[in-house]
Amino acid sequence: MPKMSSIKKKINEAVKGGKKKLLFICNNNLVRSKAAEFIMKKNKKFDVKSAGLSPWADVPVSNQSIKWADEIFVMDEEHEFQKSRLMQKFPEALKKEIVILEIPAINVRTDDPELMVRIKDKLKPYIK
Amino acid sequence: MAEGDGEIQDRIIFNISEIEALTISEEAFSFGTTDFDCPRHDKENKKRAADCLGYYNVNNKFSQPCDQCYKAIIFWHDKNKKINHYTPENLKKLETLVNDLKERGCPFHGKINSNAAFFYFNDRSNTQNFLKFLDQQMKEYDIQGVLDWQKACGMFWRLKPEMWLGYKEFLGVE
Repeated sequence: MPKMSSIKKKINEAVKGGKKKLLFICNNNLVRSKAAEFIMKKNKKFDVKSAGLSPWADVPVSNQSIKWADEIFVMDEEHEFQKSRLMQKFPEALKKEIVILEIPAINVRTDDPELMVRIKDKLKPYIK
Repeated sequence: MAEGDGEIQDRIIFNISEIEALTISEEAFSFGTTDFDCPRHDKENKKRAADCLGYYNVNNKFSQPCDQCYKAIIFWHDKNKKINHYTPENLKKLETLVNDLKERGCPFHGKINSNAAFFYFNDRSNTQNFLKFLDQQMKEYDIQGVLDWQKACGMFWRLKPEMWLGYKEFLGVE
């Protein structure tokens, strides 16, 4: 996994040439990826979208969205294998930088007030 | 990913004799690709299920995790057409579907008995999205049954039906 600092550097470099396109991915595109999209959309440096790996996700991940993104963020690999599933289903993703935010669905409730805090904390290197 | 009952299986197999035995004992055959935090499924600690019902009975609201439990349901018995779709052929088609979902890396957990198949979720929106998807998949795989959904287990509704709008919408108390 690349270091946060190197990713941040790359993002800043890209921002100079235009808005960096960020794609946030979780399973169902209802809680975690939506929350991350909401947080990062406030930052005018980025174009932000979110999607889900399930075929019944609110917005399912597509080849189009993968091609669109400069940077892809998945929520969890250890329990949900999101990076592996993404790369298996969309080989195009192999060409992209994929960051694992380490926010598993385990213990994440849709009404969890701490979820936004957790996501903000993980995205700190990108918000500044 | 953990399998139902903690067993690792390459392929989900719907064992009909097991399903029927579990139905008689008012249980259900569990399947899926994710951990399942259901008090009624917690065989080692049956007290949890009683606690859930007791909490609801006293407080008129759900305890965790039942407060976020939603189920997509395929009922085998079509009451309008007076047909029962609980057949080995139909179960085989559903078995193919769930194994295809598993191969695609989809997260899901379900139960099946001779009355219905249930898919469990912890979010209403996700359940509604899954229902639309399942409706398409049932047509594609030619699975027969009546698609429906409900919040948590029917035992909650049966205990205090006055707190519900039908068996879907929990009204609770002011």
